[in-house]
Amino acid sequence: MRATNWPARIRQFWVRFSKNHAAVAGLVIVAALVAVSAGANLIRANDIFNINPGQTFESPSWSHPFGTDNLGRDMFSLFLYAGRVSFEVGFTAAAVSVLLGTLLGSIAGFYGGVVDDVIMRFTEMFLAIPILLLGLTILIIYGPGLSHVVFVIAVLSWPVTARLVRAEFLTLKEREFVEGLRAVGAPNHVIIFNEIMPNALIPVIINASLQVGAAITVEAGLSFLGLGDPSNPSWGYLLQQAQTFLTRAWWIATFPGIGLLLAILSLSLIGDGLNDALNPRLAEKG
Amino acid sequence: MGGKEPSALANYVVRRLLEGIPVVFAVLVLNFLLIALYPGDPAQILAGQEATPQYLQQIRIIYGLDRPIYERFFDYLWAIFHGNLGYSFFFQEPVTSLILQKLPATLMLLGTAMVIASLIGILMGVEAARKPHSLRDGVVSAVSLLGYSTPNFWLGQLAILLFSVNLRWLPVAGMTTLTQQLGGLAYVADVLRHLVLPASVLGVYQVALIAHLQRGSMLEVLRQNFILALRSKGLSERSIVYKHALRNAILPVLTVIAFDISALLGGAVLVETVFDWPGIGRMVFDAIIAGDYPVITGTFVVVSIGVVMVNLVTDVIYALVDPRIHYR
Repeated sequence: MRATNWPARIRQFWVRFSKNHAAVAGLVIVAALVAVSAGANLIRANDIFNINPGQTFESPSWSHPFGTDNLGRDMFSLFLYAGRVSFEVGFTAAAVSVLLGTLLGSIAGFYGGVVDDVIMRFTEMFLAIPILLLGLTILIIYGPGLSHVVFVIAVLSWPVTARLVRAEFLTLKEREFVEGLRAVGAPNHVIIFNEIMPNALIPVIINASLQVGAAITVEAGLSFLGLGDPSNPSWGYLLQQAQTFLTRAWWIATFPGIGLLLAILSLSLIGDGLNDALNPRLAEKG
Repeated sequence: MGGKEPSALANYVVRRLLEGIPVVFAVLVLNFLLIALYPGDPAQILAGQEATPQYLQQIRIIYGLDRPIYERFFDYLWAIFHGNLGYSFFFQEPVTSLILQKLPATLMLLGTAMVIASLIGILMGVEAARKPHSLRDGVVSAVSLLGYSTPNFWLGQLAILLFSVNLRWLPVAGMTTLTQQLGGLAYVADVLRHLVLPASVLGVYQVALIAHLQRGSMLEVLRQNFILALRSKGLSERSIVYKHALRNAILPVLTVIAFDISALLGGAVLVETVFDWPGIGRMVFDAIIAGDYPVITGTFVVVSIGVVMVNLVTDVIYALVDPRIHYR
């Protein structure tokens, strides 16, 4: 199972991925959004907390491409900084959730029996509970703040990954190579992490980009409900602020939403592309 | 129903109901622990941020916060089984009656969104599947991808900007026109005018999901042999698709619609907040802003149990309707 020529594999992956033009477009858009958000300081040095009472509610212009808000702050600067927060939360929460899901899913699938039953019952329970409502219940008790939001999203979204990994493990552990490893006395943790895991990761990788999009969506929703962190505004937080001035200044609500839409849409397109590239059997649609 | 043994079916229904009990119990435990494990003063959570010291002391005595945790847990279960979810200081009302009061508006919104979205989504999915990889199919895919990716509260804001602020076709927010005293049909028409935007916005995500699922399920059915047989009998394409194929392709889609109710409820909280729709969601938002914990924990318990119930009922109906299902 180990005879891999990585450079050739990566080249093959890219050839397949790049055949999906929408996925490539998605990748370009996400990369661009991440880059401008990460470089917010360089692009716009304006302090986002800089209040200008003389420039409130200015519609988009050359000096303020996205207009200004009720405090006269430059919405373009706010957009860049907020994008950084949205992506940070999205990527971190998705990473934690995927790790957690992979760990629990592999244990459930590998050991089976009671362990599997207990973990899967938890998974089903988390899938049945309204996530947004549980998330906001936790946040209102323990207080908002970025690390809490990341924790809440990660803890609530691992079941999807756990299910995928469990299903992979259930089929993989019956394969001959696992039997062989058992026969030569390889310890369980070696079989799980070194041998089965690498083969079970493809659906996880495909799903991960959707998880990032989902995490960004949930964070936006929580922020919109007033559970965002005012000192770290995200796109959802900006939309919450915009709600009050909706009838007065269209630009305050419009641009952060476009950011969200582009990010979520592109991540979903990337997921499609990854699926085509890594899952060639299923790539023939229809 | 086709020749099923009634006892097997009854067994399945009972087993499925029994499976729901641990989930409901887990929700109750989770809710209890969220408050009990709070590092600060739990009385503060139960009473709310603006509680007076006297009220806090009263809460401590009522809930026996000095007593061991398991005793408190049984008291908590006892209270919930008697429909006591605490008192809202912000709304000045018991949480249970508050939820019952707000529930009809939310159910009306959810019901309307679900019916409209199901009809549109199923139609889109079927039409896309009739000619895979055609322009029509492409448009359906694009629309559902877009609907899937747009946060509904932002879509709501855009809808308000376009239809209420610019075109002035529909009201901006609320469920009724407060300045007018309307009766009878005029009142119904007024509520419907207020319902159009929030229900449509809430339904968009569902349309995307349903269209996608219906397309896949329909493609699979159209590939089967009995369709070929019907075609060779000379039935019209419309009758084959909408009468014979759809009957087989719709069931898995309907199940997913019912199971997705928890996502729809989350969406409703956001949409109600945008449109100031006076239901559970708007109540939750007001409670967040006011720091009114009992309303939020109470809503979490009630809604979670509601979702578990809906899922159970769906499973049972599915078993009744589909003769192919195996009772595990």
